[in-house]
Amino acid sequence: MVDWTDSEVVAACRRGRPEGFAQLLLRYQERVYRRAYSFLHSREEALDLTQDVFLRVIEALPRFEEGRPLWPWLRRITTNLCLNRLRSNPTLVSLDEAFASGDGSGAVTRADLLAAGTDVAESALGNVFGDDLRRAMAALPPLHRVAVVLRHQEDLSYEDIARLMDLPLGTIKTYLFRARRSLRQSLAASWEG
Amino acid sequence: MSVTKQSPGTACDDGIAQLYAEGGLTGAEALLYERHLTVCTACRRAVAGYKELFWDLGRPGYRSEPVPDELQRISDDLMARWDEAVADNAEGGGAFSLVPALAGVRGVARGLQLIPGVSAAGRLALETARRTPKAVLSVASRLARRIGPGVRGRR
Repeated sequence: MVDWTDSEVVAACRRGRPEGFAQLLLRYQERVYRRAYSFLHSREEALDLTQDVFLRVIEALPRFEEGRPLWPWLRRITTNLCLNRLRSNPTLVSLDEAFASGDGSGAVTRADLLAAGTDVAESALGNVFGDDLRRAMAALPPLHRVAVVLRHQEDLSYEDIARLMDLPLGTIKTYLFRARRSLRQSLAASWEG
Repeated sequence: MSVTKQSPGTACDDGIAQLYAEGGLTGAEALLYERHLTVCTACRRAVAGYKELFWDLGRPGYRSEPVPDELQRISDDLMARWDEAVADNAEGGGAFSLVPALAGVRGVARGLQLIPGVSAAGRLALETARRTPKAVLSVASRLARRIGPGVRGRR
């Protein structure tokens, strides 16, 4: 399949061509879902939100300026909708993270895997500590989690995060400081069990 | 158990350790902090812990949550909504296809308004355009009356 550029996707969509919108979904639907999941840590909420994001896109595409990259726009819509959800439902926490079954007891430690010094360690680390990190992230206050995702997965500056989340820069710094300290402590506890 | 409890002491300033780990200190600040790190085990542990954490946060393995099958159903629903939206637009004047064209015309018009006299000329042109169809219709109907039964009748 020929790769479309963002401009070609937008131009096709604005001409009402269904293949343009199909390309938009193909290129960005999974990414939007992953981002929504990383903010909300709930599969159902993330699926629901992914649908909402693209419904907004259908409404707003006629006004979208051709030539602009799509992902920053989609990320803004995704972040704003997530923040609306989190603010209207501050108790929203992970429904999927199997904390009860995944307490890590009896599991190998990070030190064990590193000491093994094999290729097995790399993939095992990816799974074991990916799970630990997901659990630690899910346990963060939702707005702290959003700030961490925007900083460390989207590589946004503190100023950009403040603008996107519509919060003062100082608040973002505080959120990040507390969230990262909490993550390090949680992970240290599970890694060195 | 937290890292800070395991270390000989807590990090002197966890915030600075975080900033250093993500490269957020200026050159002079970083140099000063590095001198401090040579003598402070707790801060060295904190910096190492944050560097590891930031690396983990950015690694693809962490991001690869399984994508649920329901996304395909959502995709189908969205395509249906797209078709509806395009159809509605077509009925209501085809906004999807006209918006870029209208934006272009508006842009040119805004530019022309800056030239002296163009606004007046524009109003005159609009007025002429508005009256032209009436004039054309009037001439056409007069011609039709003169020709009589029309082209089809003469064949």
